Amino acid sequence: MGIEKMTLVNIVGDMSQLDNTLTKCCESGCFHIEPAVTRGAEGRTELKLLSEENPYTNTLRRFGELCRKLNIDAASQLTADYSESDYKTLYDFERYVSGLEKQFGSLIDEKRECYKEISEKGAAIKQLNHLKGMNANFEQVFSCEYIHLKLGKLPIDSYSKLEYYDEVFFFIPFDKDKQFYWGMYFCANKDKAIIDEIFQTLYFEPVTVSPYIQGTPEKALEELNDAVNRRSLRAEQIDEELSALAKERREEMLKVYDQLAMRENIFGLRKKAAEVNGKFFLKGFVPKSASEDFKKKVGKIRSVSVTILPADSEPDLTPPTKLKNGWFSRPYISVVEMYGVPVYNGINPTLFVALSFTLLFGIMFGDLGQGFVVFLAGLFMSLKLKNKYGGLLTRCGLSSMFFGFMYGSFFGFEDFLDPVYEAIGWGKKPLEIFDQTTFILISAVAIGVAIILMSMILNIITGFKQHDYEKAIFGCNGIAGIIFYSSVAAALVGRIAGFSLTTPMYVIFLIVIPLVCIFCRVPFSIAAKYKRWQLSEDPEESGIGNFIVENFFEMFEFLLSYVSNTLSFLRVGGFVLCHAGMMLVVMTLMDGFSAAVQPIVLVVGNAFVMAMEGMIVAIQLIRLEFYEVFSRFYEGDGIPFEPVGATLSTDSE
Amino acid sequence: MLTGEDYRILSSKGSVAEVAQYLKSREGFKDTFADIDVNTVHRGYIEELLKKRSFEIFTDLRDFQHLGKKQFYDLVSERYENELLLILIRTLNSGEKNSFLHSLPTYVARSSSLDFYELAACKNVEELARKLEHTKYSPLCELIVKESKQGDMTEIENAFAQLYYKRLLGSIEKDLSKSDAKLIMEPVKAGVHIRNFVNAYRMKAYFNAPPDEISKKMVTVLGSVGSHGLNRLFECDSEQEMLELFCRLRGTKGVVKENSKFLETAMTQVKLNYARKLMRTQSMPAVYFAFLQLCDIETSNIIHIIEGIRYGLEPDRIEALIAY
Repeated sequence: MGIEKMTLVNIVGDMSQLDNTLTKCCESGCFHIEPAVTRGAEGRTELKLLSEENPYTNTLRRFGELCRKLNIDAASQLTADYSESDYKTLYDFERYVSGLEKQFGSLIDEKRECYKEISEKGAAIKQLNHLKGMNANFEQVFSCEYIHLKLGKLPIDSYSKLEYYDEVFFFIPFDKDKQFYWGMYFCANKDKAIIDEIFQTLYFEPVTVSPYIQGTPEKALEELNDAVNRRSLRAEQIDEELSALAKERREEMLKVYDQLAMRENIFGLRKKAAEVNGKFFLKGFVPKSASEDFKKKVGKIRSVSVTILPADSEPDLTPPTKLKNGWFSRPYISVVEMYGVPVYNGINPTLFVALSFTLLFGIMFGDLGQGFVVFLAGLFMSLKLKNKYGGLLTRCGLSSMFFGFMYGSFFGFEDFLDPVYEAIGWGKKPLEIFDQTTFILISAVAIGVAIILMSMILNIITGFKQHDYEKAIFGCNGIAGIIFYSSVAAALVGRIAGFSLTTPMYVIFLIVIPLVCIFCRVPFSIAAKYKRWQLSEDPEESGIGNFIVENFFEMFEFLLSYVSNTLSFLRVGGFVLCHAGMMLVVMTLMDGFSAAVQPIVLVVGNAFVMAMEGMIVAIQLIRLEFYEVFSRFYEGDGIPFEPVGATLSTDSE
Repeated sequence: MLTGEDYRILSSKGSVAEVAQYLKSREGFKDTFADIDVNTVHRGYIEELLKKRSFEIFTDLRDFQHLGKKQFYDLVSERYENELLLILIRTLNSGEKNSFLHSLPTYVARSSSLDFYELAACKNVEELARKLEHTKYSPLCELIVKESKQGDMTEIENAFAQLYYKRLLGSIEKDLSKSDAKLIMEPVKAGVHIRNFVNAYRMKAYFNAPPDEISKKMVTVLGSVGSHGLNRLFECDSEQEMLELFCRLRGTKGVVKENSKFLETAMTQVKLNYARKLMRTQSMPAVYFAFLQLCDIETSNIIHIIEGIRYGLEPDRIEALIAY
């Protein structure tokens, strides 16, 4: 449950084998490519990155455009099939795409013409509607000899500026919508150039009175509407004809598009390769577990040699992060990735997130029946829809079922499971929600304390890995923080349980000294690292007064955050009560209806509670994970492992 | 917010109208482009709408729970004010009548403490300086008149930036808690350095300025520029050399894209990275600050795309201009 170890791979071979090698790299599904010449090495080597125009791009774009016009969503159905194909050269693909364009071209052109006419006539209708307020004859208006005028629309923001101009002109608005005034401006003919320029810079959009507008406005409107309807009908007919034709060739087109996209993609990778003296150089990361296999496969190509090196052998390259997860924690990778990918030498927190998320979801959404529905929905999503959140739902559903069983809750029926408890010899349900509220709330806080302590431990491990002593030892989430927090928590538990732990030695060693360490974490960590005494890392800011004031407020904030973060987990208990309360409302509502309607109220009520509460619980959990847990130790600054030519994922299979 | 996939699609569009149509279909831009006709709308107006959207996001956030009472939450409007005043000074110096009024965004003018319509009526920089005398810009009045006479806009731009950053740093110290201030200071410092980098690059590329002259034109609110080792950057001979040096600086490794071709894009990438980090914090002012930065970067990305398409650039080249 860690981070996959990487190896750096250097590949060298004859230029003639570059495409072949890249294809093999893509096929392997485990090659994370890096530029063969890193920025730091530029100028120090004769190697130059290849910079060529991709000859496949234009054909692929035309093909994509054609597919779009035929409503074939080719781009989202790429399968990355690396098997041999009938189309080997760019010429083959070009001929195929041209053939398709010829076959569908005339219908597509006619359809475009229809839409163009519909758009023009639609615009004319819109104009006519906006200009109705003019109350004047168009011919009369435009026949003025000494006055220059233009019809059009002016942004509302620009309209408010008009009064500040010294030039003489008038703008008469006829109509107004959210963003524009529709109207007409006029000025003396001699000022035409200046006024036109002013209106142009104010984003006035002139409207040319459409040639479609003739006769009376009413008659023109009627004729325009008829024409638009006729053309819409024809456009629909063409759509049907195109759909029928596209249906015939769909499968074959998707296959060729896939192959062309793959060629284009592989050629695009050439810009990461470097060349010198007729040899190509490629560089990238491969998981250590797959490196030998990769070497065998790629090294088989004639004249190509593969060298495996340790991941950190190039200081300019940062190894990517590939998380290793078991079947249980794998679906939770998406939750972790929301916060960024961990650094290569960091910690993989997925298992911790998986356990805490599943546990808390079950507690907050405990209902045997509803949990089962969530479980089924998860199964459906993962098996049928192949959705990545399906696995997460199945685990949460099972957890919800377990806690639902403990609460004795089944679709809101609180006594439904009583016979089961009697049959297994428990006599009654283990947890009576409304009778044990204090226990539920205290347990929620206790779980919170445990989770916070666990995240502090992860922070200490990360700190030591990074040689950051402030973080690992003296920080509020380091060893000092964990001793202080756990000691205070233990003292409080002792007080509740009726015995006192707060002896002077306990207070001095477990509370005061850790607090002093947190207060002086910066000078202490500088002393530990550099063996010298300094109050701040910046020598210019090392005044004692400044140090005390700054750390006093920070200490205050740390202490406050310990309390607020712990109490934040009260919401876990709160949701247990909330769920039971909401289902009680559903049951009460159901009792108010006749027997025939009651099942409907029950189903609708359950669906409503599941949708609303499920969503709120998920949001609250993500919030708890991010703010109360991740903020203590996690730095998502890693580079995700993205193998070329494969589905992007940082998770291992 | 737009994703990398959105930017790729937008970069491959064939016309500004297609870009507008695409944005119109995106949830965050629906209202902004609701009434425009993508086929007839002026490119400049699309850019204006995008900037207005960005500004309105800022005012909506600022006015939420009256956050604007604290100077820190209102400083974005000062940045807009600064930009407008600089445009006005340039316009007055070049003698172009009306051009300031044309470009004046009414949404900024409405929410500003300055009366920009009154300032727009100024006939020269002396008159402008007189009108600014009793505002927060009074320390700059003398310099505006003096440098305008000498035709040195860089000095004026620098003074405005210096004043803005001074007020920003002051407000961070005054209005925010120590931990919030600590979080925000890092990207603010990076912002100052980035401004200095860009300035240095422009002085080098367009005026072939020597390193000591470049050093004099830096924003020095964080102390002497040389102490941060930036002098090495000013000594570079070309943008490419600067870019390479920049990519080797601490804090840029792994942040700037390997295929970065433009220095300013690489720098925006660094800003973006800081903003994304801040977005993950629990600090409200940090998230506010970061979100506004992200909105600004998004707006400038779209504007780069529109301009790239207008000048007929290849999609790859447009993509190299945007940071995401």
